[in-house]
Amino acid sequence: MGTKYYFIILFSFIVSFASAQSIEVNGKVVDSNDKQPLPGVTIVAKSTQDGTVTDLDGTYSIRINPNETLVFSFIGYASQEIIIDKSQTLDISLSQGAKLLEEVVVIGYGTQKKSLVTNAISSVGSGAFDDRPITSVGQALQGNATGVNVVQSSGKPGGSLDIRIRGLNSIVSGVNPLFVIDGVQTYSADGINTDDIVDIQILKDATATAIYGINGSAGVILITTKRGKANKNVFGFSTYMGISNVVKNIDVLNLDQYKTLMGELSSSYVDQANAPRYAGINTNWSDEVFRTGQDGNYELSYSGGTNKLRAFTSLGYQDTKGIVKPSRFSRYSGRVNLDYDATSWLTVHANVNLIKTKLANTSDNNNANQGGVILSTLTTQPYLPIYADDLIGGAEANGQLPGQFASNPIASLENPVSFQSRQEDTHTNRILGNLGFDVQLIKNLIWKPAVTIDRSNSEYEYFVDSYRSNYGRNNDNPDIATRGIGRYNESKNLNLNLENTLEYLVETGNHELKFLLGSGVQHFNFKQDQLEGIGFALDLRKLDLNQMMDTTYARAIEREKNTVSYFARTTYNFKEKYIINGVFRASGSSQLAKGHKWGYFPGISAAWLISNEEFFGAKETISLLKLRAGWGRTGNISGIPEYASYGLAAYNYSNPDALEQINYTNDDLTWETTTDINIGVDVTMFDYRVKFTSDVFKRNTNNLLFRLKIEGKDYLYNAGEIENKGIEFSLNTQNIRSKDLNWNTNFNISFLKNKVVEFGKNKYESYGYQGVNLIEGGQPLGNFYGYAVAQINPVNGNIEYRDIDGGGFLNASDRTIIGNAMPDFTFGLTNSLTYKGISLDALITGSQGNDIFNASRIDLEGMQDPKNQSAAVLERWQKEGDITNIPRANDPNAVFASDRFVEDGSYVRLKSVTLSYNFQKKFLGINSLKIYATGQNLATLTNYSGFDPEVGSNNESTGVARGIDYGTYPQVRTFIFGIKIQF
Amino acid sequence: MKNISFFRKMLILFAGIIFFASCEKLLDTEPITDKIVPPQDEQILKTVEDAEGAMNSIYAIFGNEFWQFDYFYLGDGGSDVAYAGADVPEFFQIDEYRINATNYVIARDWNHFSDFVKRCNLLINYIDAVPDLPQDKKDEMIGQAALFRALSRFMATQIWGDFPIINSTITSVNSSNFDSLYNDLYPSRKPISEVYDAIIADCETAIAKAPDATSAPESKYKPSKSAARALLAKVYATKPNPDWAKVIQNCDEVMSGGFSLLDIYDHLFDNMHEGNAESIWEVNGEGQSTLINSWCTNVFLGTNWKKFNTPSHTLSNALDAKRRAATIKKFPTTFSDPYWTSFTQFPHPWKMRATDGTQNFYIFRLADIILLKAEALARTGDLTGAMALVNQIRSRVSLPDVEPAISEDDAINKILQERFLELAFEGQRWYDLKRTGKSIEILSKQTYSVYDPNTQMFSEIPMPYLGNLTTNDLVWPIPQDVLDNNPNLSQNPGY
Repeated sequence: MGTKYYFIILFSFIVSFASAQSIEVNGKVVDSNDKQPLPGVTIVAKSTQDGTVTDLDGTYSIRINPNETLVFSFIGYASQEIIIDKSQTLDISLSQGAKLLEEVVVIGYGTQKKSLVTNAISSVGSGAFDDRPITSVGQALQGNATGVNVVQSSGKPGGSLDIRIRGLNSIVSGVNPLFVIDGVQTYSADGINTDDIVDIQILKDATATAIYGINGSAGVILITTKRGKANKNVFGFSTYMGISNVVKNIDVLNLDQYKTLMGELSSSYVDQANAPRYAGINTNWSDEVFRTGQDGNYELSYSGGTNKLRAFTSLGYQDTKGIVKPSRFSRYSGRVNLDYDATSWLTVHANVNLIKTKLANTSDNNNANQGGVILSTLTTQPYLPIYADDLIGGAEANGQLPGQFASNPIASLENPVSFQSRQEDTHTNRILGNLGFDVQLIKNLIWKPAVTIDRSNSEYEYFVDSYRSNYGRNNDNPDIATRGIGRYNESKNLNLNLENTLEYLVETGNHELKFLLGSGVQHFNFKQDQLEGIGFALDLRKLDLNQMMDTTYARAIEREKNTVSYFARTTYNFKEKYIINGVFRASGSSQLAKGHKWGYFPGISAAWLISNEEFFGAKETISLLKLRAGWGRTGNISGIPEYASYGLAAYNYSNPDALEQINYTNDDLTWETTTDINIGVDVTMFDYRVKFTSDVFKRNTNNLLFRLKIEGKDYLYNAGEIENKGIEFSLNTQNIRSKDLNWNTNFNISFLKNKVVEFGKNKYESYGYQGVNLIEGGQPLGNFYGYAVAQINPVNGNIEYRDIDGGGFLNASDRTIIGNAMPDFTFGLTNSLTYKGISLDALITGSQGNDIFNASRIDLEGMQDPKNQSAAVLERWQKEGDITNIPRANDPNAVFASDRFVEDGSYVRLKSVTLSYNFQKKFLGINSLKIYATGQNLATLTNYSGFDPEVGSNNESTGVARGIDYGTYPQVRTFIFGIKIQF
Repeated sequence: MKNISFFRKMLILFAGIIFFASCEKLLDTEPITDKIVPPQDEQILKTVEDAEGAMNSIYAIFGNEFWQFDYFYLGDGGSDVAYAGADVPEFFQIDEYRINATNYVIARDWNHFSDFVKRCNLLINYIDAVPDLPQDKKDEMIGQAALFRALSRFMATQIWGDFPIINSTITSVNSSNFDSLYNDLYPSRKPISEVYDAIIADCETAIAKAPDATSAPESKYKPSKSAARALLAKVYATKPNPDWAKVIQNCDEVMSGGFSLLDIYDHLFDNMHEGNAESIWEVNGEGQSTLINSWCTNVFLGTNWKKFNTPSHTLSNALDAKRRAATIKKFPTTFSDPYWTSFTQFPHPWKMRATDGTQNFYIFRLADIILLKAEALARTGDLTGAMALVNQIRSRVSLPDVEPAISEDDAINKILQERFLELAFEGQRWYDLKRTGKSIEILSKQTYSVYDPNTQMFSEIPMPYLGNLTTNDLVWPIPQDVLDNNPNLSQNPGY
């Protein structure tokens, strides 16, 4: 059949449907007791699952088909179902707590009444984060959901966060969850404006995520953004402004202490410090580097529309200046979400989200030799000035030129201000679009074709000028054309997804059956042009490719991959007592070799609502008691390259003329498979004042992807097994519930145990700084491996390690397991206290039982060279008889990865506190006005000695390298003041 | 709604299903910009361009960390030519003979050598079937690749002793052939004697197939028959149970190959005489973003930070005026160290001078081969002939003849001292000491000068760490992670 024929069919189809009509219902929902309007009540058309929610004043408007059943539901209130046959105004009063909770949650490809959910799903509403100075979805989730461990490994604005759902289930493959943003499936939520978000649902177990097949293994995060409502024009404006500061400082040696230490290393280092050119100079590098950061956010939105056409539109601007120059993140975002009821049987949903971000990076997570600003700040010698001009005698007398950074006499070291002068900017333009149709074919049969697009183009600019720094001058290379370094990369990512689903509902008596059938085609294209060159004008301070004299590297890369899927789901509901849910997805991937392309991912789950049984006697006390159980299977293909079934050769970066093989063929490579069992219980008690949920799970991931490096080339293969098991609890309580005073508490805690059941072909693999993250069979992920300190010899001050292998001398076999980076449990506690218009919200987050390998201390306490050291070395061994745990200066064995750098990384943190005031009365046409002040990262209880216990992985891309602090950009304490207006 | 026929709706549905069924072919994607390496057992080098790419990747070996840096760091820094310099603990370990198996320099060089051999194997194994390439061109490429492979294995076996011998090329690994390829993927170490057999065979291939050396500078930039003979001579002198007759024979072939000593010693290093008459095989740095970006100079020379390989007092004191001027350069710096405390006259190696990536350096030059022949003569009883060759080297720098040698050991000591002065900072000394069995004797005697302000006198202090050297210290450990992941490997004693 030709394309043309499809169009004819489609056209005739649309035309012939056009005669049917939808009807409109509007009205107000109030509390049956006090007749106060109820905002946020969900109104859903039962057969189509289309819905809306009531406004602040309890009003709603919805277009539905004639003879549709409307379901009104709200947390803590009994829901009502009303059959509507014509347009009308319908006021509803809901009464508290008589029947089931009818909160509706978004699940994969549809919605589900929360009471009927059979899976492990966590929800985070916008209320949990909308008053906080955050820039990303990850920050919104932190501490607010069970089973979701979010680590913000750096305080850098716009920095990425590690989001891990129910542990780590891969070694080299991706461990990032799949994001579904209004139906757009993507692996990145970068740039999404959290002001636009209504709520976030996290699908945690395979019974819920199997519907996403080979992409669902690391969990799925569904993000729903705001939508317009009929006949209700709401303009919103919100803004906040604030400042941020470094939370903690690490003390370093002052000039005198420094010279004393150098005297113990080498007299020449003292001579160096005493050289006449440095006379009287005493630079406090922390003062030069750290500054006060600034936060600003502006958001303007309009939501409204007619009965047929509803829109939500917003414009946002956010700008965060970090505490270490040039770090800065700014974002412009625009959104249009449209819903159009074209006919009684056709609704069109269209979303467009435009995002433009600029990220200016400060290089961190690295040592002072490689551009790490933080370690450079701490280790640069205090006797050095920033600029050569400040050397005694001036720049020229010391062999330099005015305006140049003073050269450091230690190997390749630039001072931190020099590192900060480098340009490293990423400009990204991203568009997420979604066009979907809800077509009612016959009663209870809905066809939903949709196309989504996620396109992001980014430009990366890196520039080191050819004048100011020694590095930029190419070590004072006499050939001017070799000075200055510029890099320009342009990347284009396209993610196009075409999906069709068919939903069918059968209701007879006590039986309700829902069917979902679907198919999807996803296309990814990645293009990157890379350019690097040298030779720039001396006065150039920003990358300008026109002024580049010599191109040293130029490459164009293009790769694509496709996925084809078919999926189905059946939900059977008997009298809202027994619910059985079966899902299945078949996915084919172009990444794999013929014969291995297709994977099949089933899931089955069931729930028993004991509280709906006639025999259940405690209905007065316990309004909901539900048991859930499920089994499912998902895949993970994210670590498999686009052309994994081919052996590939590429042009080497350092030898652009030489073609070198980069990986071996493996034509039986396949995805990682996670099999998951989940058992849960939901309880709601005491007139909905106490809600408790607990889940136990066990996830086994087989066919793990391993990367064997054989002579520098990759061989990817499947082997082994990882097991994650855990238990999660969440408890929501309304401690005080009254007209004026309300106090709600939300506590969640997640325990996790992890083990590599079976490893691959290697005995072990190591990642991270000095390979300190070691993975081997029979052990948990996250182990640290190194030497164990026996003592600091009081006679000579030498560090002595335990002779683990009994060989009589120190060798590599004396290393052992010295810690583990995985927490025993993580938790979050939210308290919300409201008195009339005044609210106080506090979020406490914590992590317990995880170790940190503080690699920064190797640079700060190693005492090997003339770098400055932290004040901790004042406790070093200096003379015979000293009993201490810091060895003498210049002990070459002191810098080995050992347990002396392993610290307890547990913490409890007052993550955010918000005090707000809601004006109770309308005035000047303003419907609502709220002012608030928020403090973020106010206090942290921890024994960790570094800047901050939330640390990342020292530039490793795999999820298994973790818990390593190596000059991480510290977390910041932020105070903001904000205002929100609706009129 | 009522008007539409059920049949029509079903038709649309059906159309949708057909559309997706045809998407199956979307799953067959091919690389766009990446290049496909054919599966195992297929011809890998399909075009002349592929063959040249493979040849280039062999030449690119010389731009690598081993040849640009570690070769000189071990050869000179690891001996009495130079102190460690710089401030990198891993390099201090090498300088001070207390290497740990987790040292990253050890690991990177082990992997580099495995990779060097692989690159050579690729060309040697697949060049024959390349269409449109004349046989003589193929032979020439095989000869060159064979010499690169011989050189790589020669360096590796001197550093580690027993070393794996892999001649196959593996492009495709999967679960069905993994076991059959296992021994090549996880090779065991082969005894030194077997490694030398392989090296000698490759040298002979190169002598047969590599191009003749000419007087054109370009001819020195690639492996020639003469370069192969020079390597073979050194291999016969270095292997267990040296074959001195073969050393002499190959040295003679080289010495009559049209090479001559330059009159002025400094011309060897002034960058004005690249590919000169004394050069037998040299690395041709051509600058940044070329096949060989010779960045080595920046590691050893410069004032912007403290460089590696600070010249030793022993060397500085022993050098004659002409060779000192070409070997060590002192200039003011902003740093000093325990060995050289003066800021104003801090010494640097001076045999590499180009900092823009165009530095050339010698793999073999004639003076090296003349002194090698002297060594062979001394070992075979011709002490007079040996000293005559030493004197030939000395006369260029206007030095008087050495005293006649009184014994074989005396002759070897005199030759070794001449090599020390002639070839300092050319990456030779550590290997020379090992070959002559003098490492422990000479290295453990290393001292440095300390100035005592009270007596205003310099005193010679023994270098720390070098007092208790054993033969175990003269081979590097197998890198720990390589060892742990390859059950067929064993560690060297003492590590």
